[in-house]
Amino acid sequence: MAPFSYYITAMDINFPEKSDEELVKLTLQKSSYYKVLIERYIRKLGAYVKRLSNSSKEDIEDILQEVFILAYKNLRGFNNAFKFSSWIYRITHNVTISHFRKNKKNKGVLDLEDNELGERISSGLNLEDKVNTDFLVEELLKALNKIDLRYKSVLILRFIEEKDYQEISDILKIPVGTVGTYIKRGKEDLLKLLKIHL
Amino acid sequence: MNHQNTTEKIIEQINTNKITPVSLWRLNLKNIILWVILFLTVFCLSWIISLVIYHIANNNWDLNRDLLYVVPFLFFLMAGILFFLSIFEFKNTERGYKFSNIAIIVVAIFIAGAIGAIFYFVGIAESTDKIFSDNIPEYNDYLHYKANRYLAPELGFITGKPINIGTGASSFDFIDINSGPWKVFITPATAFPLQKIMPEDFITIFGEVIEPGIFNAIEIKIANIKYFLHL
Repeated sequence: MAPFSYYITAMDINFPEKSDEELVKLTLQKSSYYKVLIERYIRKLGAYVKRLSNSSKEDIEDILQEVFILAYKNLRGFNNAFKFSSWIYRITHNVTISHFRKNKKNKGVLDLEDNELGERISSGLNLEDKVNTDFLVEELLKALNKIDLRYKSVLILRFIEEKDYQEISDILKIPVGTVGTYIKRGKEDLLKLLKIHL
Repeated sequence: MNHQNTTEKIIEQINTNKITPVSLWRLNLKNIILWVILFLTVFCLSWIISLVIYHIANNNWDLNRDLLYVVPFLFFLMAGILFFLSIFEFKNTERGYKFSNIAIIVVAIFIAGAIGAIFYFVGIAESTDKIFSDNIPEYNDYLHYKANRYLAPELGFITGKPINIGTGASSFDFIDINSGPWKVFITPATAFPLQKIMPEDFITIFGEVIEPGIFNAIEIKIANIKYFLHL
């Protein structure tokens, strides 16, 4: 394949209509299309990495660079039977966890200012009426920091990234039934911790 | 964070390092190797299962009395290790994660058991046993010492061929393949196998030595002579 080119011709400009999977095929023919895929996902994945690991901005940038380069190298291995978003989230999840393990000082503590995260999780737990104040959202985020990483990942993917069970299964490489079990256990653990705090 | 900058950095890295997508065959190689290893693991597992079936089926075993003697526990251990290895390998295939552990375990037991049974019925287990018996002394020491019990009159077992069985007779002559001729006495309480004993059949007799050359039969079972000939 030719070296990466910045230039996309006028004929290619209609890429917003193209699906991710079509863009993967186009990237394999013309590498410049990869920029479109990067731009489509970099914000979402940056937010996901932040929520999963609460890494610093520099670390998130390193993780994202590693993710997109790894994805580019393995692009021919992308299987159209899966969604591209599941595939790129899986790579991101694995790279983040790998960084997380290497860098023990970062304990994956969630940003307690992340109100959106707290509100969405509280909505998932049907706690909207109880968790309306900033104080309670903060309690919820503290509780989320304390639960098992497996449950935390599933809750973030379900309630923040709004992935369905099948996508979560493909991202985390666990059976669909296990996704349901983790969500249930994650909710139970959160509620137990919240009862202590509330 | 400035995502535009990050995007530019990623593209720059790809250009500077001349990174290109890896070819499909290289990406598939890992999966192919994994499937080959999985196939070999299941093959070995089925082979061991067939040997386990062979040794249990040919040992005239009695659950209460002989369990510790006839069950090849080392083979069970090996089969167990290969079993969990095959499950681990399957879970690591491209779509293996989609299945629950219970579903994989049930299917693996069924597949390995079925192939093991086929190996047993087509004679692979018997041939393997003969080859191992002839060439690996440790194999004999481990597996066939159990069969030795059935050739030890002092332990209450004789194995061989009956001669001159008359209808309604209370005794018959018997040639033990190890210790020579016996006169075996049977009583109304002697337990016989469900299938009819044919003149060419070899049998194992459980009972007690009354005096040299005289044996009192308590239970009679059909024996697989090939199994004993490996001794």
